[in-house]
Amino acid sequence: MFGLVFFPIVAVGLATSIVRSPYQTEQGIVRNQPVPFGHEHHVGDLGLDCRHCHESVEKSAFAEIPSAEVCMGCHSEVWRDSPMLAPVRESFQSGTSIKWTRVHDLPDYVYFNHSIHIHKGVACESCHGRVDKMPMMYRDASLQMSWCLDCHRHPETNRRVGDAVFAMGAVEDAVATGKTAESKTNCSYCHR
Amino acid sequence: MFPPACKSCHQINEGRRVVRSVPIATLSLLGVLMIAGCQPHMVDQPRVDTLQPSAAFADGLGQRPPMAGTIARGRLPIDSPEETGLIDGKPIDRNPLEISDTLLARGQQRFQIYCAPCHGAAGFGDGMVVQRGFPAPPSYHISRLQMAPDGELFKVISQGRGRMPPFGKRIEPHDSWAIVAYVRALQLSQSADIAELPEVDKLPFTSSEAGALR
Repeated sequence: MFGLVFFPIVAVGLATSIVRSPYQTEQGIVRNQPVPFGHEHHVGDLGLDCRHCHESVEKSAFAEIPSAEVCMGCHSEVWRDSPMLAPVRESFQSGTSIKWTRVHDLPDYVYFNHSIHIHKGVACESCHGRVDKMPMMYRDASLQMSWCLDCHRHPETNRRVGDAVFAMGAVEDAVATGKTAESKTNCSYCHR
Repeated sequence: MFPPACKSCHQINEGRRVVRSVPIATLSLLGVLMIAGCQPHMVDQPRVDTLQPSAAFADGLGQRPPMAGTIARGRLPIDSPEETGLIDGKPIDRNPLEISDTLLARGQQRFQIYCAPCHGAAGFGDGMVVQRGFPAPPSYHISRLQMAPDGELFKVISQGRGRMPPFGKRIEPHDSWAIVAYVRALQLSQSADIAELPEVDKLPFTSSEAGALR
């Protein structure tokens, strides 16, 4: 009689922890990329603004993966003969896309929009973590629905003003205090 | 030896209970594997998302380049002065947008995103990328660039020049004009005549404290 209760409970617990583990969510797992691009160097060391490369993030649902043309803006001169950048030069000359491995990929039944989050003051860092400290990109958050709802139910602590949205690390006076935070939790806002 | 709850499994000499528990344990384990291995097909639906490949086109790109002559929504005809900075092939003298605080603020923001990495925050051509080995662009504060018409600066932003890549695909004309206005403000900041400043702005240059600082 005890087993009838014990094993299903353990089973559900085990299943839940597997589903929530990085094995399923890919949280914290570095993926192989055709070019070992380092956000740590470009954002942390050089101080490039996110929008220098992800230029559509303010006006589109998609943040834009920069084309080889954007890379070559600097790498036509800097590290111009580096073997690591060979795929970039090849893509620039041939016009064939580099096949990056997508790190942040939501299920197709979730209609996420970058621009509205940016305009409401949700910092890049709030979802993507400290990319200025990531030599190679990984998922900082689980991207699970419970994680979305954590913020959607309490958005007030996660909103910044102005260009602090694009800043990395704690930003003084950046939290949009006093602003009323209205956030959507209807199913159909994200699941159309 | 075991607390009562554990006895159901651990008292193996009570064979009856073990026999009953094994199928439940097996079924539960199977359930775990089924739930954990569950990958519903709706996660990757058969549609082309942004930048995803598509077998429907010879080049394999799902995102199609606009056809020649396409005018994007909200944009002017591609040969209009606002889009090219030129009239009859010659750069226009004055920025077609009305210069305002808002425009300058926008220009400053866009300048810092796209231009400052090479040109430096004040336009002396000493940005971070230059410090890392990119050939230095000319300073904005040379007479050739101080004298250049607004349309010329716009054309360089959108079409590039020398080692500078074209930014026309990445910066919309309105923002490029805002950057032009901000570059003009930067130039003025380094070359304005102190006598022409409003009284309040003259103070830092005339007071003894400021003189000591300099």
